[in-house]
Amino acid sequence: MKAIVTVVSFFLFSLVASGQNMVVQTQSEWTVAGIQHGLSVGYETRSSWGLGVYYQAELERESEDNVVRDDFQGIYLQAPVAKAEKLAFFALLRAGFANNNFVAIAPGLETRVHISSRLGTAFGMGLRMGCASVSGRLFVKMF
Amino acid sequence: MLRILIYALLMHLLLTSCEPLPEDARVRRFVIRKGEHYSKPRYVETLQANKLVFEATFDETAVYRFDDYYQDSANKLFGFSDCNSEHHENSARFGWMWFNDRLEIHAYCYANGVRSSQFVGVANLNEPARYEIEIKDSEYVFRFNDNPPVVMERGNTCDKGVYYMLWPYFGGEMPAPHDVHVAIRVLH
Repeated sequence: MKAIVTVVSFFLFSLVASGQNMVVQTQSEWTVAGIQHGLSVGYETRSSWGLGVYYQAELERESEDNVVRDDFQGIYLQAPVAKAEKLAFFALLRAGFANNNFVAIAPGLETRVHISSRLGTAFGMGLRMGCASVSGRLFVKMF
Repeated sequence: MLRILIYALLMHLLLTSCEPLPEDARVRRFVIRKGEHYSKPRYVETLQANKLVFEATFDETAVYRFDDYYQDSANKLFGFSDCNSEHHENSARFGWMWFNDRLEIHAYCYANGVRSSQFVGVANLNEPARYEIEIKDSEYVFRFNDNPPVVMERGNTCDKGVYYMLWPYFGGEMPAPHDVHVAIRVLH
């Protein structure tokens, strides 16, 4: 997993160096198991295809005998579905590991609202742990 | 501009501070039709934590009568295959059988292709019971209601990988003698 993140990071930084769009997002996702908050960093082409890495975790989760923190990290692929002036719709596929060891794939759909040319918010629906999830994001296009 | 920003923040809060789903909405009701082994509906899911915790409720359809030879054959309730393993190689599930006029719950595992089973308790019909399987380095810990935990050997598997879920299945060799209903609510 670390190797994948490292390789993707190098790929992203090389693209940033060549003046392409780098997108940083904060995100919160409400899943059947609780709310996870996190961060993602990715590269986005001019036609809005995107590829990046993400990490999200529950801030705190108490179980009977100890405190565990569910997390989900991996890579995402974003595909444009439709686009208007300030609105855009995407299909999103996230793949990675939940709680370090467990392979997890989460497909979803996202609606993005541009507040300015670089700043915006997005609302998504997805499938996590066999149930629907909803998410909210704030994003900034860095370069 | 300000209006859009406020709208966006409100939507963000709205979508991330919803109330949990009603309890009943998370219950999955399975049926194994007469003459069949597999339950419906079918799901494809994977385990995403080192503990599987769920509640299951059986009703009167869990009562059946076979010849003695088949009566003590374990039906499968719920569990998972271990890391990247086929479930007859490495897996952990709860099993159940109607035996001695009671609904017996068993721990049912495969470790390196060797099957083992151990009694863990008795479930009451029409009452939800709590089940838990915890994955440890070299063992599974089965917990059922307030009964003493049962420890079962775990095979040699990887840590990182796919742990696919194993849903209710009738048998053993014999298919369901009539429609069998079971409700499962995954807690974690």
